[in-house]
Amino acid sequence: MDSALMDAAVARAKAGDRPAFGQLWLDLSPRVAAYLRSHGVADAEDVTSEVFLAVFRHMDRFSGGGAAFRALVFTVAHRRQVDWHRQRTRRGTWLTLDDLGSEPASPSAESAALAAIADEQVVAALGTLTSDQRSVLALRVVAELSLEETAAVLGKDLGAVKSLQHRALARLRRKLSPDPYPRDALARLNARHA
Amino acid sequence: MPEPEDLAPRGLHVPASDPAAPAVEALRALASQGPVAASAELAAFLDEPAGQGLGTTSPQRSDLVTVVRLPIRRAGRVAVAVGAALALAAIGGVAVAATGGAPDREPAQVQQDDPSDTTTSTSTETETEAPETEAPETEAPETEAPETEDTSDDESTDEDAATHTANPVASANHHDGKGKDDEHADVNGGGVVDHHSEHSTAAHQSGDDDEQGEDQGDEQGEDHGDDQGEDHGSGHGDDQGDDEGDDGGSHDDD
Repeated sequence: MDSALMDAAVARAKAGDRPAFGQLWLDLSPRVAAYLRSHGVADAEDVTSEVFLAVFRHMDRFSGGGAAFRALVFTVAHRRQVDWHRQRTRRGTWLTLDDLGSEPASPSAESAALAAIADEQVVAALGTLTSDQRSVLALRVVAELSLEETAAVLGKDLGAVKSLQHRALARLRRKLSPDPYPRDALARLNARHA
Repeated sequence: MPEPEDLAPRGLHVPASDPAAPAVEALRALASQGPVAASAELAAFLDEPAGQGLGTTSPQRSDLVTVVRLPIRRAGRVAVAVGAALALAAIGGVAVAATGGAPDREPAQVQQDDPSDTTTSTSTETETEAPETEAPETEAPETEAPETEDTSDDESTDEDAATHTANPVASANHHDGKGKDDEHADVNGGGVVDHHSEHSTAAHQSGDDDEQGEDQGDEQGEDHGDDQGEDHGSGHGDDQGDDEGDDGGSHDDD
């Protein structure tokens, strides 16, 4: 959904239009669920529903367009995933013997989610990122937020978000390639310093 | 200089030649896994947004407030009723204490001082007299003890009875050498009292105490007869015990 359609859907949802809510849900819910899965939230679909329910119920007090609505949704999603991890830390992880399988050390939830779509090397590389680095990458890639919107969602300044993104990509490059820097980037650097 | 990935206004797009591209595309593929199944609550909201909480947050809060306020009002009424009941009870307690509540406390103290001399027949009478004798607890009890005997001995000489009964009782009762009674014994005896002299006859026969003891024995033997004999024979456990015994004897005689 492009920005114009998003703006219109948000405006109609604010007016109580029932199809507009469904349209927003269909467009954004896969991204929110993907963001939650990238952070290892096990019951990502349930949390996604909670996120949209919380946002939709206060829709009459929302002011802004489609971009602001998208940022709001992912702000709530980010806080929900933080809460989810805090609760998980307090309660501990409950696994049955069937969940453990033959290997005592089961992979993390985010690794399991990524393993369905990527090879082991990519999964291992993404697993090395810190939580903030993964949040920046997920918001930038999955939610398609700008740097400013990402900074607003995470409550960080723009420079910190840029630094986190840069370090995340650098780490991925080091993990996925023996040559950590892209050739075109090296070519630009070599041309400048030549 | 901005990084190549920062040039895109929205989202993050890395060139395919970037070694991090597979990881970025893996993340992007997470969002293309298909629609998400809505929960039952969200599905109900999507079916009818107006009836499932959209724009109804403030009415719900007001409903909650009213629901909470009702028990608070009831609790306030109950509190007022309980407070009124407690106030009435307090007023009643003060009235009872002012009229007859104080004597009820005295018998317990009397029985603790000398449980051996108290009798059931005199307990009610001591209750009526206790407030007068024990209200000034500082120094009055032994000085007033003869007065109680005076009331019982209307025909005898009051002054002699008072002087004769004070010292023997005090000297016989205060074995510990402590308390205000001993001080009175010193005052009435006119000298140092040996508090550890117990009931030896030699102690009573010498000095002022001997004289008072003789006087007391003679006069009380004449005036009270059996009553005095019982009282002194009991060993003078306590002043109050003596008073009670005397009073009881006098009333029995009457």
